[in-house]
Amino acid sequence: MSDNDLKKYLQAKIKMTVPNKIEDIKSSPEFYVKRSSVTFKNRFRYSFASILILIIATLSIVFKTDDISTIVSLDINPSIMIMLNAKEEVVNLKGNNSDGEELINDLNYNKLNVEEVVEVIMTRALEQDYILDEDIILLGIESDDEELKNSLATKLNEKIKNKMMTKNKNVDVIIEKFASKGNSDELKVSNAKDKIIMELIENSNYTIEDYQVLSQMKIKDLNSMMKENEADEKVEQKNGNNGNSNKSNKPNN
Amino acid sequence: MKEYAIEKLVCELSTGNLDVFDQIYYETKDLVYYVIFNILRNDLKAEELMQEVYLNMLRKVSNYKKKNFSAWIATMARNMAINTYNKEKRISYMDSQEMEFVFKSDSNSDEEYLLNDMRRILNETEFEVVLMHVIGNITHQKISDGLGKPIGTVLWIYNKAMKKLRAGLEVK
Repeated sequence: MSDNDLKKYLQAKIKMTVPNKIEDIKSSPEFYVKRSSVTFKNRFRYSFASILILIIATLSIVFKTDDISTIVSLDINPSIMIMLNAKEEVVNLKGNNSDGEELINDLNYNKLNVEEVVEVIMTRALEQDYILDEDIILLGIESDDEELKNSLATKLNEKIKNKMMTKNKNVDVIIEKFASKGNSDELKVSNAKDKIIMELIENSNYTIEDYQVLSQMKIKDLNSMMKENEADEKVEQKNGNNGNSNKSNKPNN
Repeated sequence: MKEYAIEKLVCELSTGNLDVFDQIYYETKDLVYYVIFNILRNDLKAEELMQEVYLNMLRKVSNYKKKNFSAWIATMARNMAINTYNKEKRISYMDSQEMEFVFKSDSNSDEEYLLNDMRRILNETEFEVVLMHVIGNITHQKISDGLGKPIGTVLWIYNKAMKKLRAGLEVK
């Protein structure tokens, strides 16, 4: 018997017919297409996404990127501090003295990076004749990130020098780099200037009582005093004087 | 009707257009019925459940992801039939091996004997394939969609089943 014959035999013997239930189905009160609803899986997905967004939003509020991670200070004689966040965005500007405050007055630093802010400050300082030929600008960089400190120092030094060259000013830039230690708010002096003053106090007859007076001086004058002091020391050493120096290059009060 | 034509109808149905329901029903009812019947082995219960399967399909069709409708509804029918079978098994403690095919009182008893003989000779899948193809006139392609097996496997199962039946039924 072939497959075909067997098939015919089975078909003849089994008269099974598939019942037609279409009318029963159509008469059922449930005969309608249920609107697509949010399934449990989708509901879970939406809930998860909402929670995630909420967490991100909360975290971004809690850990605002306005935390200061780097401070760039500029001492021209106006003294200015530029605070940067971890993304190197300028988050605050502060004048350490009245000239500094005046120089940054109305400066909108939003959406500007540190190089752009330094450019604006330098332009204003030149316009207001704070920077003279042969002057010295003290650039201080405070950060715990060594790589960042070095890259900022290179970038900003170049920026200041290029700016001065366009105005034919021969200006020197002294760079001081520190680990973060907070700014000397009470003294109204940048940490870079503070370092130079303290060095001068240590190596000369100036005392801590002179700090206030020294902090008012231009970097150029402080630098000259340091050099004079070093020259005097050399002369005294040659003359056999054992350190009883009697330097009197105190600034006039 | 080709599977893509059914997919098109199902797409319309999922938007709420019930006018296409008849076409979908007639294209799939045989497959659905035999899937259920093979599990429940009772034509009256299969008939009742068949209605439930289509109403359930209407409830879920708006979430149907375009794949293979025949396979989708066959799987739904199989799951619902297994649930019904398990429910009844719990009540009557029926042993699946001893479970015979039961037909309505007006049906031919020869038919029942033959089906029960076939069931004894063939395994579950072989019986399902033969029942769908020989009695239900369902194409091998559609059976392959419904069972979720490659068409080559379905053809091989069918040929093996026919060989077993030839030897087992002692048909002259």
